[in-house]
Amino acid sequence: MSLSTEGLLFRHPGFRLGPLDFTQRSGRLVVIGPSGSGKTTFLRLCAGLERPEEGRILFDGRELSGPSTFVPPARRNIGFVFQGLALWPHMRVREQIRFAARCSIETAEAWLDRVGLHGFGKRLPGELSGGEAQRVALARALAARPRLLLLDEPLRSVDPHRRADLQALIRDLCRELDIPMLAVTHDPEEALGLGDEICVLEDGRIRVQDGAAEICRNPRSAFAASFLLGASLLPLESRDGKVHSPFGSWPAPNGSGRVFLALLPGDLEPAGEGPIATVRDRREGLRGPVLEVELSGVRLLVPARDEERPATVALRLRGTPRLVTGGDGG
Amino acid sequence: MRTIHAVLGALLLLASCGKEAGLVAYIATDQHTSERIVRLFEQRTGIKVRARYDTEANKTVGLVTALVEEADNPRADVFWNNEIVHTIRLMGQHVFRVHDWPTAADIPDRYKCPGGHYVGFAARARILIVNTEKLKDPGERPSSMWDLCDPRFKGKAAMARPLTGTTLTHVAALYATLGEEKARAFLDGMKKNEVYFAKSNGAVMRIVAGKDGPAFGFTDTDDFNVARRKGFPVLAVYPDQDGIGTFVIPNTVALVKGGPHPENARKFADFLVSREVEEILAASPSAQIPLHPDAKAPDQVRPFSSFKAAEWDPVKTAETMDRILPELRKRFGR
Amino acid sequence: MRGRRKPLPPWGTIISLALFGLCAVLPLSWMFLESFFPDGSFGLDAWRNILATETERLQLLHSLILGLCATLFAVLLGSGLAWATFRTDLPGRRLLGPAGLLCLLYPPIVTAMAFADLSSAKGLPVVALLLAVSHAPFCIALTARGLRSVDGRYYEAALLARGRLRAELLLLRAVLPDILAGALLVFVFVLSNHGVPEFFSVKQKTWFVYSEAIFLRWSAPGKPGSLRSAEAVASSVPLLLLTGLVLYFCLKARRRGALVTVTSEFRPLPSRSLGIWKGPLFVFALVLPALGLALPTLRMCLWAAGSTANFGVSLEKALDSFRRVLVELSPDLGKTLGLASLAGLLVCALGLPLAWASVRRKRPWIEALGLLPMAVPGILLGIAFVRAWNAPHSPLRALYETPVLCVAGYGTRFLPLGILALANALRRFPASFDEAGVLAGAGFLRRFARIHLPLLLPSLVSVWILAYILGLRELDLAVILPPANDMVARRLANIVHFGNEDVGGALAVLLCFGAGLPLLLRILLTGRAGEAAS
Repeated sequence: MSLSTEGLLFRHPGFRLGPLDFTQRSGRLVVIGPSGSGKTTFLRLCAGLERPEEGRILFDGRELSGPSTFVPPARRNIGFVFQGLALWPHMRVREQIRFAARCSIETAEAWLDRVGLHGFGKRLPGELSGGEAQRVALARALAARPRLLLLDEPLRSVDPHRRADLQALIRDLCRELDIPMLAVTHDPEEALGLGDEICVLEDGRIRVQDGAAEICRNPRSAFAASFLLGASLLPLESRDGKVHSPFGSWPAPNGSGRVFLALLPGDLEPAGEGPIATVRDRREGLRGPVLEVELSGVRLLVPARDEERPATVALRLRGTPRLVTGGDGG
Repeated sequence: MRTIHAVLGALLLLASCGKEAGLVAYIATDQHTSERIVRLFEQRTGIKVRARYDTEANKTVGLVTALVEEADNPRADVFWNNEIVHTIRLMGQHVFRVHDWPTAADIPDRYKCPGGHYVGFAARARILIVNTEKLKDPGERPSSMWDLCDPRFKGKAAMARPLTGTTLTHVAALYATLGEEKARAFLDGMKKNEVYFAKSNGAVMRIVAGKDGPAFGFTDTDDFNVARRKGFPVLAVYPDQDGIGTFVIPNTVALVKGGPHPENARKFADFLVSREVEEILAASPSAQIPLHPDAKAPDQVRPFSSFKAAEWDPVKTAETMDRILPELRKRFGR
Repeated sequence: MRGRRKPLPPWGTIISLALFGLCAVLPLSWMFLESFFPDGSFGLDAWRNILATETERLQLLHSLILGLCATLFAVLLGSGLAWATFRTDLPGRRLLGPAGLLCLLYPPIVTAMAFADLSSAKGLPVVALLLAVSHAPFCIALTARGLRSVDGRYYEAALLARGRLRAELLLLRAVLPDILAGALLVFVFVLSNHGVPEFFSVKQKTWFVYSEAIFLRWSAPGKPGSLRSAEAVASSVPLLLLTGLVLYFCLKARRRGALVTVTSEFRPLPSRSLGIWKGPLFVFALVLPALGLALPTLRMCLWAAGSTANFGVSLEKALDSFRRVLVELSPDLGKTLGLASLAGLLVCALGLPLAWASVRRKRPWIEALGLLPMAVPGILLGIAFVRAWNAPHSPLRALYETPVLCVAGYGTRFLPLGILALANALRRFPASFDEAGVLAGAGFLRRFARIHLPLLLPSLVSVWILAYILGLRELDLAVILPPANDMVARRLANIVHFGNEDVGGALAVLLCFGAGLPLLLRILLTGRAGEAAS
């Protein structure tokens, strides 16, 4: 059971999404991108709340939207957790579930138990905290046993210390019910915590789509590296089919645009020899003292070796280099 | 959607519940009194009457407009108007049909349409209402319309603005009867004598009957009778008994051409102009003056034969009114 | 995929649009078209005379001046009262707000007559003040709605950053669209009123307004009836343009006002302590309920007790007047309340689908078109109805003399208020409320019954109440439309004109009671005054 699109295009004045060619490969896909990148629109297109201008959307091989077909949203059997949750303010919590699933009170209460809201059935949405409301919206979306669950910024209104719980709940429920999930978010932590597969969206186009672990190892796109992993990008020089950095030269990777070396904290360490970086500052980090250094115009953090405060420091690259391509590096 | 269905259902139900009337009457007069007469007619004949009434708040143009607008597909059978000029206007637009008016044989000819389109009945007189406390000495009281221009009564007289209703008819009749020069002299004289021009005849009655303000003024007998009934110290002076006489303006009734119930319409119209109805109207709070010579009337209603009524031609007055109205509007601020 | 019914075509919208077209658009357009053919052949005679005389131009100017003055007074009194009762610790605010709203209950002419008994003051300021009092409830309701929808945190942020004065100014800016919408409604209603200006025209020099000019065209001498009526239609165009323009801005203002949705985290505005201003503001807040509710009620009760006669006032007389009304006029009263209720229902039933189509289906032209019946004078709408429903081959002929015509006429007349209010209510709910229902597989009827109707119910009740009250006040249609002739407002005017103030007073008070009952119930049930026209 997977979702896929072929040449999907949607346009509004001043906004364009696509053309998107994409196939969901795992049960839990998270689309990440900054505000305005088209995440919510993509979700609404999948749900049938918007009609694409061109292209096709397929689920499980069946066409949902296409040049001559449009399955209305009510018949797509899709569960949707809206960004603002869209809990009907006049309806008690269990009635929300009963409305969506056409089930008995007992079943609705059972669903509430399942999302950890035992005894909340008679409350109104206005009487819930952000996390509780989120769980109700989740229960409402899942109670009708949809064939696909769509989540729009699912952890947005949840306290940080409760996020892990809710993430686990979403993952567990989808696994138990065997429902594939597609979530969109702008929060890298949320994306990596929720998804097995990540799709990075920028300006309405997919930059990278890969497994979560793989994308951390090799983000490939400069935008994905900087937006998803928070990497610093060291611009590299391309010459003779190779890219050249202060740390060495490597074969140029596939892809268009400039090539960067994506550097995460811990990728560099002080060394006796290597490129010399200017030390800007020295301070305490989470795992001991760190130096803020500047190399080729890019500011980086490296662990400090001892108590001294050098003016310059020689650096060494640990592990394999992450070479990424892209526009100006985001 | 459900609401719409419910409302549509209710509307259909409403549509079906209207009782079938045997006669439709458009009535531009006091609803309170006329309703009694309509009910009496219903009792006598068993004919169900659907009556539509007008209101002064709309200058009584509502029913007149409706009659004109409905002329292609008439809904009314009878038009009962509390004055005469609009009736003559409607006659000019061929809204009415001819009738022989058997029950109105002894009503004076000058109040009947020579062509048989309408008949006047149950009249109001244009009298001077005098507050006997403000003008205690009977010898000092006015007796003529020209007293409104008399310096003796400077600032003490009132009249409604002659732009609508019976006051307009009255002034137009003055133009038609006295001649334009004399009528203008009357209006100029009133202005010079600081006559208070009120909104309506009712307002003249209230201001004269009240403690302050003018001591006398022109009004209709029905308005005078309201003041009398309410116990104000007022008396009615029928002006110009030595001169042109007192102007009398009758109710009128006419049969609408092409009305849906012609036979019942004839019965109702004959009933309205009968002596009996005139007697009821005379005994009613509006104290209308019967035009049938032998009709009985209570003491407060002065018989038509007991005073000199001005001779005036309603058709000529209607024509004159059309001509002078712009001038009057200019004079009285519209 | 679960099998479901095919999506329904928007039948509600289609039927409502068809009914609206039939009731308002078609008759009015036909009437304007006909005015080009006054005697069967094309001619511009009727249109040449628009604003031809200086008097008419002056009347239009008078109308404008009066409209502006009355609107200014209404905003001062109405929005001021809403602010004082909603934002401050004014003593008695829970009573004063609703009392101000109840000023809508008396027809303007009754308020005017009650005032005339008390004072001999005349002229523009008095007319403007009384019309303002009669229509200020629009300002109260809309300003209260605006104040209720402003998030207190915006105010607090401004308070912390720039101090109290700046915060209040910011608040004023936030509520301005609502105040403006109320003001514009007042302006439109004042523009079409001719009874009160006429009643209060000053001695000799009269203060006549343009709606008077339209009336005069009908009774213009020396012209054939068809030309007179064509001229009346043509002469209404300046007023129509003026009202249309104002209503357009009203629409714009209301759209801008609808920025706050019910889902946002929300904190109501903090209440302000008045300090030494408590006394003066209390007196100010009393002005509107005193002039618009207490004064007419008192005067009408005194009339019923015989104050206009020279025999003195007595309780027996008052009881007798009320008894007479109840005995003689209760069928008419019942019919009036019934027809006004049905007209209110029609406004809701047509207003909701039209507002829905305008907001949810993104057809803003429907909202603009929906304003048409309020932009033309009532008597003109009435005549358009007569012509359309009484035309020789009209399929509606059979309904001409049934109460259906009355309900349709009144419903059409006040439909614009229904569309405006309901469109505004719809804008306050995010589209995702509906979408969540759609994705749950619920059909339109189920979504409507379970999601939209409960959410819109307060607004629907308010619209119904408003149309019901205005229906009881309406006079122009009451005279023109045959079945509406039983409406008590016309009888009231007649009774008073023919010197029966005792019965008239009792009738006015009972009418006010009948009109106020639903509003009072609503206020008691919800405990909130300002929702009546939200």
